[in-house]
Amino acid sequence: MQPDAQLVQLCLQGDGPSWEELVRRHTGRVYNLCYRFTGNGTVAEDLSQEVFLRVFRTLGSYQSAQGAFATWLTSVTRNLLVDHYRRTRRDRLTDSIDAMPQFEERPSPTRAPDSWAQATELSGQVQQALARLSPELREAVILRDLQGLDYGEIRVILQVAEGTVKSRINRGRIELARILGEMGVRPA
Amino acid sequence: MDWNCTLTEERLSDVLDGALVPEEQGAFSAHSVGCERCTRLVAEVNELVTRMHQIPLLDEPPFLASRIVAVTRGIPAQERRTSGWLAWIPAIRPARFAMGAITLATSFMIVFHAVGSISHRTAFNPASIYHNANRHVHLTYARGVKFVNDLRVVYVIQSRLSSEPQPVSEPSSAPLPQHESAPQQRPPDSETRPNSRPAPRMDRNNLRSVTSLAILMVSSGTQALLHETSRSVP
Repeated sequence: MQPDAQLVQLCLQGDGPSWEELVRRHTGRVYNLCYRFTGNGTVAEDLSQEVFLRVFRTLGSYQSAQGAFATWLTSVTRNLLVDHYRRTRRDRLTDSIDAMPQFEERPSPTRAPDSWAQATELSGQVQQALARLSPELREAVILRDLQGLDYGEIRVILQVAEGTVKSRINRGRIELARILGEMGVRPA
Repeated sequence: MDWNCTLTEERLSDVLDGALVPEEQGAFSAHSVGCERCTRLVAEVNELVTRMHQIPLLDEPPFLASRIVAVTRGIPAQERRTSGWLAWIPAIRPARFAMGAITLATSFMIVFHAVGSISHRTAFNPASIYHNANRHVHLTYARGVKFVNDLRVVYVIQSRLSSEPQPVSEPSSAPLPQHESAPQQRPPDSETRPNSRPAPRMDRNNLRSVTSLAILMVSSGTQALLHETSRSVP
């Protein structure tokens, strides 16, 4: 498998299949981040498309020496999510329905039905709790605990000090545990 | 080293990751033995994190990647570097956009002209359009009648002016018009005697022309005013 940086170079030379490979390789991660942050499948799809459109237009500004392509892509996604959050703030204030996000998870063909049911239940509960977190705590917890990024990558993406990253993750986790407790979801 | 509940919250990640130095780890352990709150907090968050790490990535919707590739494929390569405040220019460059804008503007002009006024939402009803068209026909007819009447008034005044007594020294070979039905007899009258005394005759003609013009202007102004008033009243 070709490294991302090499695919990026080929893309910049006008190689279509390389771009397609980059998109297919990273669509899942981008979609997951968008879905976890917004809690809405349709919005997450639109935002994912918007992310790749922006990446396509600004691909020339990516420097492989500054970090992995996936980290840069996550930064672009996170910035768009923040833009989207600010853009829709007024709608959320006026429309209380937005406070209860819709869950549209679909079964994975690669997962057994039982494990899918358990995963879906837990995933839905966590998603509901995430929706009640402030955006800065929410993004930190998603990046760390659902996307599996390390502190250094999160520091680059959020453009804050590592101490701040850890502090947000701590507060986010504590708040999330408290919300899940209020929802009646207790750790087993 | 002293440890407290606030430190447990602040260093929670390091506690869970096992990243405390031995001195810190000892202080934390000593504190948590007698602190049920910290013990419970660490246990709950540890369980939460463990379970969250088990949540698999959601499957992206089918065809999302294909859709993204299709969308980005439609963008020409030179557009990649277009950014900033000039980014909107390519959107209005195609001839299609210009044609669309012109067609839209023309359509609006036609509709507004037919409707007459769009101050009410009901202006686009068939009944309203018929009513407005009917009103325009009547207004045009009334305007025509008014214009003819104005002309008649002008001829009357001209005739009165023409019937004023002529200077004594001026011979009169033709009968002067006595009423408004004969204004057309005057031009041949004036043309047949150009050499007798042109200056007073020219003054009178000028006076007539200026008077006629003034009357026409006043009547046109009145007409326009009436027209605007009738338009503004629904």
